[in-house]
Amino acid sequence: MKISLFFFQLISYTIVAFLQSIFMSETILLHRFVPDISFILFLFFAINNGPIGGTITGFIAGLLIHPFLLPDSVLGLYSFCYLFLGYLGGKLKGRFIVDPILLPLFYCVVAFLIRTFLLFLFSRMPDISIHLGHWIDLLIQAGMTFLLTPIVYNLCRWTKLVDLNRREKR
Amino acid sequence: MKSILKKWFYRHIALFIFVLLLIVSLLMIFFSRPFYRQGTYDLGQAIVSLFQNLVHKGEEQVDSMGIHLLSKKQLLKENQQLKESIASLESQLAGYATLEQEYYLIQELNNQHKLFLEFNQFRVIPAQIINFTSDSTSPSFLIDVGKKKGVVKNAPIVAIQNNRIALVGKVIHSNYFTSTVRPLFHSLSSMGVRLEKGRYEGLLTGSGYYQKDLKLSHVNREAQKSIQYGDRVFTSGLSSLYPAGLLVGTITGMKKDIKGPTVELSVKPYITFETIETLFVLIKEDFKEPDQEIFP
Repeated sequence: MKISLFFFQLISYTIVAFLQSIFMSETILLHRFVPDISFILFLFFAINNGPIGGTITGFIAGLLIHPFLLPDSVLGLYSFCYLFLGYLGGKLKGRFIVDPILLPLFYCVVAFLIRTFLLFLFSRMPDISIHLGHWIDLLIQAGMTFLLTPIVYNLCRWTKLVDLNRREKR
Repeated sequence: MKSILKKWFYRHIALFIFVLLLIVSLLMIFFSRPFYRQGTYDLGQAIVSLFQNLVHKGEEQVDSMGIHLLSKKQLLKENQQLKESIASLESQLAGYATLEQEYYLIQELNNQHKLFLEFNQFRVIPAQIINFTSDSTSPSFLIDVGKKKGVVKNAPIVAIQNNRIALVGKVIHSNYFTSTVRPLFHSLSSMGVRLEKGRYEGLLTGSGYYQKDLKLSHVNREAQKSIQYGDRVFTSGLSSLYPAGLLVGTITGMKKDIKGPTVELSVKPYITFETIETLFVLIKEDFKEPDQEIFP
């Protein structure tokens, strides 16, 4: 994993999270339902960076997202969820040939489900004030995120931010 | 032996880093103190809110120049709706003749007058919503006034809808430029309220979701004799956070507890959260920010 590419990925992720909090929370397509583009970016960066890089990417991404999108949430919560996803995603690097549409979509769906499940577990704990919201809201947000996944993945591939078909040296 | 351990460590280094960061994030979750959490949030939010405010003002400028076609179309639509509602209100006023209707009109005017008097004890700061959280785990929204204009933590927030002043929520955090508002449907939101008829008191708590009704508990069983669907619920003023007599919502249902001495009611918030834009922060002149957070 190249350090310069890693920093470039982090900067891109920060900018997207920042823009997502400003522009997209106003109105986009459906009022208040925002596709989580920063989540898609983090996922593919984590897969691209391998297990170690993916874990670190997840931890830092979870910390970076806190001031932009989670004003009243517990610090460390998204770091926990994202580093978990980052580690699992990093393990997938080089194991499959990633096509432009289906496999990225599959990764995103599975990662979204795991994240929702982890947040659901945390919402059951006392003293942690998070609320998942209505399942229809989650479904709409998930649908919008999944629709954008192939577009975002191919943009990242085109800008050489990710190259998921490069095998890791063993 | 050392070389074997070393080889094993380097082979599973990814797992070690994963476990280490997992422990760090769990420690952050369970042991982060409110002042530490607020410190990092303060720093991030202070930087971000500057840009958010600028972007919001920029958007307002674009709208006012009439370049944003969608908002212009929406304005025309709203203008038409307002004209229609004025016409219907005028016809309603013309037909408003019976004594019973006049009595309720006088009673309502009296209540509003009292609230207006109560309102006069507060300094009112108008505010605009500049950001809703896109994360449903902790619903809140950001307004464009902060400590610079005198907004303090726990200040009540109201809005005007259908010519009524109603409660929206309270300020949970305020930095120099912006403030974060916790709406009254938030799962951590709670307040003392009073029913319009019978004057029974209860505890109103949020459901966590803006389309779900609020829960009004610890209401005396006797209240069910006088409760009707659509009865209004006001703040009781006992908590000293919210002024008494602020409209909160209307009753939509009742859950009977056969054994207990109390009943539980569902209350629909009066404010439609999808459509509010302008809010008012009420600052009582002798109000002081609490030194210590009891319920973070």
